[in-house]
Amino acid sequence: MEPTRERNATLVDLLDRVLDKGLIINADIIISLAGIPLIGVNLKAAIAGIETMLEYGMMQEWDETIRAISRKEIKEKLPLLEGEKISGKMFASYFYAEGDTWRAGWLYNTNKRIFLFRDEILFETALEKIKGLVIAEDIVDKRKEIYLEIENQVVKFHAKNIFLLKDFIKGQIEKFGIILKKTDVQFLIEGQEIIHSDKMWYMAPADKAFDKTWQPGQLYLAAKDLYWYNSFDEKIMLTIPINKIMEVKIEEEKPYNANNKVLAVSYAGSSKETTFFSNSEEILEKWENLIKKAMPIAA
Amino acid sequence: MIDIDEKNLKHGLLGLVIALVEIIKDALKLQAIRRVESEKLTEEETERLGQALADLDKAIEEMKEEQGVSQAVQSVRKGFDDLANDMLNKLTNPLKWEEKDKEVKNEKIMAS
Repeated sequence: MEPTRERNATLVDLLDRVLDKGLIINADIIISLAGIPLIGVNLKAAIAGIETMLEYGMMQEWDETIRAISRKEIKEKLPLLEGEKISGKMFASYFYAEGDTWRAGWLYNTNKRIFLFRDEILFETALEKIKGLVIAEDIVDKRKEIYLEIENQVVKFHAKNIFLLKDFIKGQIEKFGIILKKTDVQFLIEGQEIIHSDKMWYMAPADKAFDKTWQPGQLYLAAKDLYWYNSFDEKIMLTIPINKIMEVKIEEEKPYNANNKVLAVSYAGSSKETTFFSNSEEILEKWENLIKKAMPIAA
Repeated sequence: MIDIDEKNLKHGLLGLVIALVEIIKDALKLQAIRRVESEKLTEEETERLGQALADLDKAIEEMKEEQGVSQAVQSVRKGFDDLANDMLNKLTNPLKWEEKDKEVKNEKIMAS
């Protein structure tokens, strides 16, 4: 056996080796001019990874003090309740209704609360106060938000990845055995009275994962908009302003392998678009009449 | 070996800076592993350290992607690694000493 050397050492390997072993520099330097010493440098330096330093009994006190300080800082910063344990955090923002602004911070999950923290607690709620959670597109901002129903109020949250945020909050709630009441869209359709609602199949447009498919959900007719709520994803998938609806009719044919007749709703989107709903004929007729009644008279 | 393209000064410079940051980060990571393995840190500290390193990793990756300097960083790091390798080779490989001796001798012969 002959000793071999790893052929390709990298700079990181070299640094690591130096830090692991430690490096002591002990130098005396005299800078002189015309044979007369002018400046003297007596240099003593030790460079090593802290673990190596500790092995040699150096910087022990420093290590402990610095760690103690940062431990204390973190504890002081986060005002936790007694027996409260943090189980995760995520960057998110919440809509501060009184100030009409979004406030961003770290959203902490603990075994007792969910709270948003940045220098101070911006928002907090006990886990058991949370009654409902849905993802929906905000009607003003046109982006997806999480709506959390807490006792009698609704709070909006936002994160870069909204689905991650949903799993983050929902997972925590469910972990502690709190069952959300059946999510209700009522509170999403802010200020709009819901005129009528029925279970309804909806022809979901194709996306990356699926071809066009019929999906189960709930159709809502509110004062200004028609909503379809996907019970599977628990979010509103479709919003049609009633004043954009151009035509409503029951089609005799059964497109896309529908079991029943379908209700075709055409509306003015970027062009004239049509969506299909399906249910028993009786219910479709009822909806045809309802929508026609709600449509502007000009149509 | 460390090639900073004149036309691409921004890329080159940023690549150099990020490469240095990365090298320090990697060295820190190895030291962190050593500290964690010593079992002197509390669980909470270990967790925090791991999280901080992961965040750093992510931040650097994102920055590289955003600035489009991944390639530049890689080549700078390769340059440094080759340099380190060369240096170590010269210092620690007996075969190299022999070569060097020969070179010196040759030079002497040439000079005389």
